[in-house]
Amino acid sequence: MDQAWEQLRTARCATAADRLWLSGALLALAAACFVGTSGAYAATLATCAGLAATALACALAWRCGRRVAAFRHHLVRLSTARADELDARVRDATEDAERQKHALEAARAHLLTQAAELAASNRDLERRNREIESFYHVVSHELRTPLTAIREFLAIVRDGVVGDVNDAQRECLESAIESCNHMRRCVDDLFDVARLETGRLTIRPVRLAPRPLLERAADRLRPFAAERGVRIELELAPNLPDVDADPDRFVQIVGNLLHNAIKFSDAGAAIRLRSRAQQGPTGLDELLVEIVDSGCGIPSDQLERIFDRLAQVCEDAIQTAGGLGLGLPLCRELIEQHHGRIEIESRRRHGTTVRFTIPASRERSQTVLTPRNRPTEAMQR
Amino acid sequence: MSKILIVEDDKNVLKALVIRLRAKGYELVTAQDALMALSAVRDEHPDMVLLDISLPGGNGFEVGTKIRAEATLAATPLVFITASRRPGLRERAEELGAVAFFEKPYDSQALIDCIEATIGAPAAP
Repeated sequence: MDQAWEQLRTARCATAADRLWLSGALLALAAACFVGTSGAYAATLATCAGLAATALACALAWRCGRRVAAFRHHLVRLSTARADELDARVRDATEDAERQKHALEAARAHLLTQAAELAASNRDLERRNREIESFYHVVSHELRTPLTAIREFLAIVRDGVVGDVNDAQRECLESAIESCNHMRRCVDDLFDVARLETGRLTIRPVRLAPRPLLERAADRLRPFAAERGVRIELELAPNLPDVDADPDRFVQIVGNLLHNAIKFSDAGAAIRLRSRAQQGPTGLDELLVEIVDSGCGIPSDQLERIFDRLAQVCEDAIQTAGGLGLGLPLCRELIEQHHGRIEIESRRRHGTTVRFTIPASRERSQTVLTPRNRPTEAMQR
Repeated sequence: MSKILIVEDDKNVLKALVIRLRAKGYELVTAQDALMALSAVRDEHPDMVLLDISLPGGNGFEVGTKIRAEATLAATPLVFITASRRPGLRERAEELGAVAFFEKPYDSQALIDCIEATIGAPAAP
């Protein structure tokens, strides 16, 4: 502010000096004219005044000039300083930008490396998945072949094809065949579990009526039930809704649950396979299937972990009837792949009810069920 | 109508099948790989073929396809048996017009019933 005022004053001084100089010059000129008209004394006075004015003006002008020069010098210095300051700022900003650019490039390179590593890791995991599945497939295939031969030869002897057998021999052979059947189920479950682990347990749903499949599952289990002296009774409601389901897997689920019920029932008991339509929690129609037995029941501490794959394999408490095996975890996975739910109620010495639901087929749109891929416990361990 | 060709590479499974079916009275021919299977079909003209799917030198489906491609053999009933659980096998068997598809370990009574239903009980000796 002071600087500005100073500048203004200096400028005014310069203007004033110019005016004074001009006035002095005019006065001198006037004096010269006066000399020509009004006598020597007046003329001399006027001339002196004019000269004095001129001298004063010159002095003032000289001083102002100096001030102007100073002012001009000051202005030049200011603008140079300003220019320098701007240059410095531009340099700083440019350097900042350069640094940022380098940082961004480094970050980008890092991200690209990470992405490449993740892609490679994914490929490895996928290859490993395929190897695991292939391994389980080969192993289960290799196990089934000798198992077939063992079972067949036992049956051939039991059936008297190569000679008579007495009752005791027949009983032994029956037990051996039953063990073969058990082993066959384990091998099948093993393969299914492998596919569970690698996310390849897929279902191929079609729209189907459940009644014939429920009957087929029951028929399939009747021989085993008969061996145990257990009856399977069907209570199927007349208006069962169609469902979108994989027919083989549907029969597998029901068969599995019936098999467990038979195993845990005493001779003379009846197992009920019930089914009807009901409304689900979202108000949509669903198919309800229940397998009810009056057998020994499952202790509540085991109920909690009953769908836990690992618990079945490690637990040695559930061994009265040879264990539940991998059947229930598989059932749950299969039911959930069908967008259904499963639950178990059980009381010791009273029996067990397993119920599952599957959404009914919708009329308007095709329900497309996709296999679910999710990180499994095995991969996280 | 009672000659059956059994194509199976595992000698014990083959032996068990032979014992069962011979006891029932069927005439039997056996082969243990894809090549032998084809020449057996051409030479013996069996009334029915039981085909294992995994075979040395090919697989049961390839043999089935070649059988279907030859006019004189095309109508031969085929039954596929497999120890594999890979998806899609049953469908391939159906595409080849198979009479039945069994998974090992198979139910031998069901297999016998299927054979009898297709080519009848064996001719009386």
